[in-house]
Amino acid sequence: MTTATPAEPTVDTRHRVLLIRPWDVSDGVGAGCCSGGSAKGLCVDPQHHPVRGGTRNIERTGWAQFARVYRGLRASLPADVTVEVVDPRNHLYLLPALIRGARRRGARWPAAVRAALRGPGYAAVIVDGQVVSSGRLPSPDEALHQVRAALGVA
Amino acid sequence: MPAFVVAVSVLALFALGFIYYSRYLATKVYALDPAFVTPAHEFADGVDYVPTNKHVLFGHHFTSIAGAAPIVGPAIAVFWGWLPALLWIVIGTIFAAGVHDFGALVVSVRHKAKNIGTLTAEVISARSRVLFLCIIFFLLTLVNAVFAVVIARLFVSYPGAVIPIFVEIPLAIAIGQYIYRTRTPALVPSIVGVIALYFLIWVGHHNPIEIGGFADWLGMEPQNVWVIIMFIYTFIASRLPVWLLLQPRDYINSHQLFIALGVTFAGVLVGWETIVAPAVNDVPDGSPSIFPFLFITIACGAISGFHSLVSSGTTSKQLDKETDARHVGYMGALGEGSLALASVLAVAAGVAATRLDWDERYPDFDTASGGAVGNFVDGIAQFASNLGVELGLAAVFAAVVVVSFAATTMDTGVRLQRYVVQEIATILRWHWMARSLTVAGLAAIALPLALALMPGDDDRGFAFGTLWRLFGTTNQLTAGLALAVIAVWVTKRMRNPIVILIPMVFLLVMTTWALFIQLGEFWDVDERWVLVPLDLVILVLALWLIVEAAIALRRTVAERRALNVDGTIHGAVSEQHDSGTDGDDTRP
Repeated sequence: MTTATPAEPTVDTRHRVLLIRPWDVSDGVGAGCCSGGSAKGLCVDPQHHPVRGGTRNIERTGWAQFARVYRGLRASLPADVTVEVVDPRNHLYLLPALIRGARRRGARWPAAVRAALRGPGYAAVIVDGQVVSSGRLPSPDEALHQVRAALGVA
Repeated sequence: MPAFVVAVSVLALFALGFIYYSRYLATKVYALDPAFVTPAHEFADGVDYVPTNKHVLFGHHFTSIAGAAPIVGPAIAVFWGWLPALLWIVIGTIFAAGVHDFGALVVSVRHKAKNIGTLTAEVISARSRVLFLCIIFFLLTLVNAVFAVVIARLFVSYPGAVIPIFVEIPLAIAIGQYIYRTRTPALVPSIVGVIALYFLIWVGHHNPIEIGGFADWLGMEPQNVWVIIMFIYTFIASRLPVWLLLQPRDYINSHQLFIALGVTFAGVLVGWETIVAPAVNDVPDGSPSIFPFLFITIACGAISGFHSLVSSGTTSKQLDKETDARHVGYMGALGEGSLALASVLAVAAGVAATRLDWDERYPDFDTASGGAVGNFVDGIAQFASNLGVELGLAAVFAAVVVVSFAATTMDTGVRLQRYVVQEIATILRWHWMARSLTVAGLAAIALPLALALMPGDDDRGFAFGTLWRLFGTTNQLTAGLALAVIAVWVTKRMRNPIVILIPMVFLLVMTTWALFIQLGEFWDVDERWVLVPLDLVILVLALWLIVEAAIALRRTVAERRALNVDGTIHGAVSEQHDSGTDGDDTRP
């Protein structure tokens, strides 16, 4: 289990960090329940299948680097700062969340919608609805630095 | 009755089901513990195991399970009347699908997020793993066959859909490459993709592609030519990496899902259509009886065994708190039920203006099943036309929505079937097949292709209706297997499994009953004799499943009786029952 040390208890508990899973690292395939739901669900039992292992490795290049960013943030930020990994296709959650975040920061509706459309970029790091990094997967240290800066903590 | 009133009533019942019944399941049956350390925390790796907020996870779970299947079944089942179809959707969703999807998620979470195949072996018996693989093999065979026929029939009936569907393939690849190379946010390009697709729908509407001449030249029915084309396409597509075609198309599909749902409910409201289908249809003599066939015709949308794969394969690895399972698993089932509701509204209210028109579309079961998807398309087209879209164009739009989902299902179905073939080949030590993607791929498409091309009277469409019933039967068997796993686990936890046993027994009775009836039917009709062995095999699997479930439950009840109230075993001096009563879910 990953447990975070509450090193900076002064951080506002309402803060939410969204990590957009890079689209080539995400696993949705949009085929409905008959697909088993995802690239991972494609195999009845991936652990048992040698050929599947090979396929999985091709499909999951880059997963480890993304995981390091997530683990780095989770381990270094206080436990009461939420860190979420979100699939970029998850518009059902992302659009309202990003619009709400932008509105909280005082943006007008058109600007909030624009922010929501531009938000879920490749490997984006979003703090309280504000994009702090996008377009490439940052290193764990970079991501932590950017998130801390956005949260206003050293 | 106004369709909108029906829609609101059903959604209200779903809400009540969530508020009251899922709470009962969470507290009294599954006994969820908010302090339980879920696998997402225990094995957190940032890849598969990631603690995820329940609202985020619901979005992912729902978009993973929503597809074409809950559309087709209800569109056929309205043949018996909209009321029984809707009742089964409502009751099935609240009391069977919710229990199943929610339960599969909880059991997986309590067993280190193992998938249902592995859990079957652990909870029921080692033999059950082979049983599970066999059921999945036939399920996928039928999925691929029925969706090939669905697509082929739509291409024949709506030739305007051909251009948008085939141009969508390079379009999706191009969008994927653009996003991949520029690393731009995917939302805007994918919306542009949807707009481009809608432009292609307009182009296709004015330039329909009919292959009657080509089919004549080949000496085949146009539908069969499309079936072959689709299998060639999926054989190739299933060899491509997931990120190249499947994932980018998923972006477009996910938009289409919400647009179609929005069009349906907005169109129902604006048009204020009245349901013209009979509440209970006086079906002609010789039609399949409502019992058991209604309950296997509507599988997805009332209960789908496939959902246990999603719940246990992916979602269980991301559940933040065990109590979130109620929100994600149960609510996901309600979402699928809402799709089925949309389908019923389309074919009971949208498709026809009068009862007479409706009767022409549903005169007998074969015509009803053969034309079901077309009826759905026409119904949705009517709802879209209520919003100002020209009817012919709206029909192509609706056909494209269904074909997009069905084609993606086939892509993944063939891919998944290849894995299953390889897995079975590994068990049988047929390494030449297990290690060759080509051989395994060919094996994966051979049987569904043969089934989809099965001779039959194309106009009456019995081939599709029959295949769909077999698909529904097998899907319900998978659900029965998952419910058996859940029931055994609940029994081990000293909880009353009755709310799981009731849908399980109901499903197993309906499926075996249907299989027996179909066996006689296939035997009697010359053209359907090829289905006799398939029906027999599925029947054997069903009986095998019943025996395995009964043995496992009996054993569990006996073990439970042998336990003292403090968890120690009768006769044991001081030995603690160290696995508790939960299976392997104890933590240090």
